[in-house]
Order: sequence, then C-alpha cells, then structure tokens
Amino acid sequence: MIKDRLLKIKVVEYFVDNFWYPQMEVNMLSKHRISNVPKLITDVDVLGMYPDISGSLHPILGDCKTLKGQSPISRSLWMKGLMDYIGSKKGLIVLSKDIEKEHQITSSLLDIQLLSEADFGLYSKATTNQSITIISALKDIECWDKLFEVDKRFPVLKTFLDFSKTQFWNESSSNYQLRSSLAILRENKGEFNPSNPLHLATVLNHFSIVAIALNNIIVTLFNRYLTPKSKEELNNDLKVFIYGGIENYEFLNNLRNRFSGNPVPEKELTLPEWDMFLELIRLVFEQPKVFSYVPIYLKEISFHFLADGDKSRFSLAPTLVRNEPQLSNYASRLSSYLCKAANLPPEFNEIYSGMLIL
Amino acid sequence: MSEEDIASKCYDIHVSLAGKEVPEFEFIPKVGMMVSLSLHLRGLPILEYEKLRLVSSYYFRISPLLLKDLLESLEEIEFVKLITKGSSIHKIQPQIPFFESVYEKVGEFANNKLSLNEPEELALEIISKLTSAPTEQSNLYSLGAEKKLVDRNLVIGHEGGYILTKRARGKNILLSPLFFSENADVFADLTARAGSTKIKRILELVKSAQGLPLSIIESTMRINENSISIDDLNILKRLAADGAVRPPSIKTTHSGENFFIFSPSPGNSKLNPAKREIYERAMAIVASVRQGQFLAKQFRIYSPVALLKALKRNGYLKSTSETFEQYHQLAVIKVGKMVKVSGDRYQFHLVSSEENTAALDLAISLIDTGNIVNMEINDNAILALQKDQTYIESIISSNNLRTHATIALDEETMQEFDNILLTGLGK
Repeated sequence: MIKDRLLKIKVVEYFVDNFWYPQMEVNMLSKHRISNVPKLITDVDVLGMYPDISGSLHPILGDCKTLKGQSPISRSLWMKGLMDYIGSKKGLIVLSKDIEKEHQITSSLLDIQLLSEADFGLYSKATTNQSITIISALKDIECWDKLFEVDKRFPVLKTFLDFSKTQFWNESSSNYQLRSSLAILRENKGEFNPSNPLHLATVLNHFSIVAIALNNIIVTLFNRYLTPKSKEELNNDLKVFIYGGIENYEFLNNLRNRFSGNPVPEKELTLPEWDMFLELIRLVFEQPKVFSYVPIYLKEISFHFLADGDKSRFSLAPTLVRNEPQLSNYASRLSSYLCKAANLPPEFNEIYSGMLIL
Repeated sequence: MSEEDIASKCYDIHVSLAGKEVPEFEFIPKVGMMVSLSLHLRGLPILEYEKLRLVSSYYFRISPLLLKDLLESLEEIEFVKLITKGSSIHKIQPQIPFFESVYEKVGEFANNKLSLNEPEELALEIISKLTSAPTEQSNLYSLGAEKKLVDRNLVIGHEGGYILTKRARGKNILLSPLFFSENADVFADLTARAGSTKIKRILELVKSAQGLPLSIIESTMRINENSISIDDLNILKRLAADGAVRPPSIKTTHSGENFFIFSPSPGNSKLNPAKREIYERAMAIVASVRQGQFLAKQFRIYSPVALLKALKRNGYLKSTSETFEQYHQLAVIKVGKMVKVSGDRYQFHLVSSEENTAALDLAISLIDTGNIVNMEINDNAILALQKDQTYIESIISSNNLRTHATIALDEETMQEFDNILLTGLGK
C-alpha cells in the first residue's frame, strides 16, 4: 500500500485538475552505472507532466512528507538537486506541518512551492479551473494501489510494470523512451490476456507513457518544419530521428543487414508497422498540440479498468474530449498502432477502441 | 497410431534434427533415414555405392557408418537389391514401388523388426498431437508419461527444431514448425484463446475443403456439410487476415475480391524449400477453380478435379467469358497464358513445364484429399545421384564455404533482432 497516501493523492488531484499527466512513486536511478543492477538513488512521490506553449511535456515534481528530523528547506534543497538532475523546472512540496515564511520564500527562489497541507488546499483551488469538478479514476488511490500490486498477482509482469514506474522516467531522450517502451511491450506480448481487466489496465497505462515520448517527438518534428511535404520526407527524417541521428541509424541499419544474412535486405530499419506509424504522425500534424492530452486521456481510461462501480460517473475523459474533439481519434489511432506493432491479441484493440472513442 | 503414421513422424523428426544426435533415439532416426532414402531412390537407375554414400552423407545427413545397415533393411522389404562383392556393397538397384506408400511399407517393417523405447514412444505421441493443432504445455503432462521424461522430450524437441514454445495470454503454447511453419504467434494466440480442440476441428474442416472462398463460408456458416459457429468464423477470419493460412485472392467484376482458405503450409520435412513455389502455384490453381465452382457468374464448374484433369490432358480449358478474370492470376505467375478466342472469350492454356505439371498434380491432390504429396523430395540430391561421381565430389569439396556462409534469417528471428535494436545501442 502507498505510504503518505492522503497527501500524495491530493497532489495527484491537483495535477489532474490541471489536466497534467500524473505518475505516482517514480524511482530515480543513477545515470552512471558501475554495478550490474540499476542503482536506485531516490524516488519522487508524484511526478507530473505539463505541456508548455508548444505542446511539449515537461516534468513537475511533487513531494509529500510527514517530516521528522528534517527542516522544510532541507527538503526543498534536496528537491532542487533532483530537479536539476532530471531537467525539471518546477517543484511542489506539501508537508503535514506548518512552514516558516523564510523557508517558503527561499524555496520559491528555487522554483519550488513549499506548502503546508492546509495551504495546499487554498493553493490548488486558486490555481485550477473552478468552473467544473472533475471526477477521475486517477484521483482514486485504490486504483493506484491495484496498479502497483499487479506484479504480486502476475510476477512475470514485474519488469514490464517497473518500466512504467522507473526505467521510462530515467531515459534521457524521447526517441529512446519510445523505442524501449515499444520493445518491452513486444517482449511481453505473450503474457497479456485481454479477458483480465488488470492486464487491460496495465497495457493501456503503458500506452500512456508511450504517448508521452511520442508527443515530444511530434512537437520537435513539427516545430522544425511544420508538416512534411511528402511521405518520403517524413519517412527519411523520422526514422533517423527515432534511431538517434544519422550516424547511429546507419550503424544500426548496417548491423541489421549483416545480421540478416540477406545481401539485399527487404527493407530498411524502421519501427514495426512503419507505414501505420507514418500515417499516425502525419495525422497528428493536423493539430499537434492536442496530442499532449493523449497521455492523460489514455491513463484515465486505463484506470477505468481498475475502478469499482459505475464508470459513467467519471467526467475527466469526456471533458478532455469536449475540449479537444480530435483527442479520441488520436488516442484510438495510437492504441491501434501499438496493438498491431506489438502483435497483441486482437481483443485488446477492440476493447480499447470501444472505450477510447467517445 | 498407424504404421504409416509412425514412419511419417519418424521422418519428420529425422529431417528436423538435421544430423543432431539424440542419445535416447535409435528407432526414430533409423526409420526416418529409411524413409528418406526410399523417397529419393524411387525411379533411379542402378547406383554406385560410393556415390550413394557421399550423397547420403551430404544431403540426407546419414552417417556412412549407418548406410550399409539401412540398405540391408531396405533390401529386406524389397525396396532395393544390393549387388555385393564379398562382404561389401558394390551397387544398389532401387526397386521402390510407385503405387505403394513408402511410409506404410517402412512403418510395417519398423513395427515388426524394431522396437521403440519409452522416450521415442513419447516423442512420437507428442509430435502426433502437435500435428493437428498447437496445444498448451500442461496438456502434455496428462499423456501418462513421467514429468521428467516429458521435460527431457521437450528439450529434445526444442533443440531439434520440431517443437516451439510461444507465450500467449500468459500460457505456454507448444507448436510444431513442421506443421505450422508460418505465423506461429497467431496460432499460439488462437490456441490460448479458443483451446486446442477447437483449432484442431477448424483446421480439419479447412483441410477437408481446401481453397473454399471465405465469403461462402461466411454466408453459409458451413464448411462442406459441417456448420460452424460465429466464434469459429472469427477464428477463420483471423487466420486469413494474419496470413496464417495464406489465402490467395481473386478479383472479378461480378463477385468482387474473394479470399480462398487453405490449411497452414507445412514445414521443411513435408515441403522441401525448393518446392515451395510449386505449392504456391498449386494454391493459386485451386483458388481459380474454386472461384468458378462457387462464385461463377454463368459458367459454373461442377467438378474441379475433372476440370483440372482435363487441363492436364488437353493442355487448355475451353473458353468462357469468365475465363480471363478467373485465371488471370495464374497467367501472372506464369502457370498459363490467355488465348483470345473472340470478344471477351478466352481459353486458358497451361504453360508446359515440369513445375506447372507438378503444381497441377498437387492442386488435384489438394482438392481430392486435402493433402500435399511428393513435395518432400530434394531435387538436388536426386540430381547428384544421377550425375557422375565427380559432381557430388565437387559439391562436397566446396562444403567448407557452405558451412561458413551466412544463413539468411527467418522472419521471426529477424523480428527478435529488430527488437534488440529498439532497446540496444545508442540512445
């Protein structure tokens, strides 16, 4: 069960009310490994992803503590170090006790909001949209508990689940996040059973992090030259970008050709189902900023599989779609692509499509 | 299991093992080798022992130490006559009958003269189970053998390349690439979803009516006289959509585009890689006549087998106004050509070649019995047996080059490698 759960879920609520993507309990690893196993250096209680004016998603760190033996400003200084380490520009600390003003002012100089639990209520009310009350499965701590306990029922899925809590957030580039999240999905495809709601939730939650990586790739490409003039142009640029630059791409492509044993390779190195992927990217170029809401939309729907009772009470997904009508389309197209690229049982796509198209 | 089946499965395992030695197996490789020799010696002239020794070692992976014993066993069933000089074999006169099943005859001999040990019995039982459909691994433990023995057999099967394990929907699904050579993932997933018995039934139905148009199955909800459920149809559609049963398609102006359903294409033991093109042509021929049988506009085919036999006999089919669209695909792959008679009427003429005749024979067999026959033969081995000794010697002398040449990877391994490239090297 998640510790300090009531404080943490308040931060999640705040993120969700702002339509920011929430992820609880993110583990941070050492970037420079010398041991065989990844070394855990610290964790983040709630990590949010918020869009900037271009639609690119950036991390905001949320920390909640019942501090004993540590001053509030010490916590802020720890957070500032972590923000620099992972490239985050904004932090938020909610403590269960009152905080001295000097500590708050110093923290704000570090771009960290240091708040007591009581003040956080005021802060979140004042800085979110008050016209509607968002009901979301993401605000249900029980759903988070269930998600984090999937690996206890299915130990074979532990690596897959750890990826969305740990490895993904520790990758430095979006293109590598995209490739590695696609690879781990393909590696585990044989484990997923579409008749199990926990599997449906886990896989769609994974799709939501793929969407984060893809969003930042789309924004980067779109801001380079808006919409490409031809499929050929998009094809050439995108594959090179995704595989980390021309030198890297050519190296991997040559390696692949040598390994395949075919003197004339049938096709070049690309992501699986490349034509479908190109179509998706081209479609998103119509309204690229809308795509920044796809991650939270997919995560919300994934949490519907974890929630008890009537799902129609949740208002986050319909609100998002009402604000951005293309959202449903983008999310279901991405889901179809990932189901196909990972070769998941076809029911996954059928079930997801039924829920994503509102 | 019939004697014919036993010999057939021994041959499958022997081909798949490709020379790997399994300490537990004695009966299986011997019977497999006897079948292999018999299939390839049929119809050949008298051969020098020396030449057969080299060809057998190179093409059939038969150790020269075993050849004499095998030939003596084949002599016992009167498949060969050995011409000896003292105690050594000098020449071999093949006498393999054309109108009897090689498998049956060798199986009969094996049953009378040889005895299977427990691991071999289990291996044949497992492969026999996997012939009809993939199955969950746990089902093998209910065959009655000790768990230790089953596990060892699975190790042999995996190493020997005749058993493949796939994870699907959290289950271990076993399938044999000897009978399901393509799209293992789709078959594994369908078995995990619907169960082995259901898949087995559907595949048996497809085999009983090779090349039936999917649209006809869908509209009648029947395969021949057997009704199928919506779930069965969905499985069939999935097999067709994902290419597991490789459906050829024909497009006509009156009936649109139709897909024709075939049972999975077999692996190398029953379909020599060099014969794969013949198999593809045969499927295209069956699809064309099924189009005329079930989806004709005006000129319906009542007996596809009689029609194909007429094509073989006469070399052409009578003209109709539907001929062009119906057989167009066959002209594209050079099985035949269109000869205009008048207006929109064309005759379909078979392009005379050994491959096309073989494809036509196979098409007749596919419609008649659902089976593929005589596709396991390695033509290169037969050629080597018919040329003089220097031919096989020159092939063997280039053996080092062949061993070290890079082998082109199959699609599945390539996909696994692509996955490594997704995760590895270069962020």
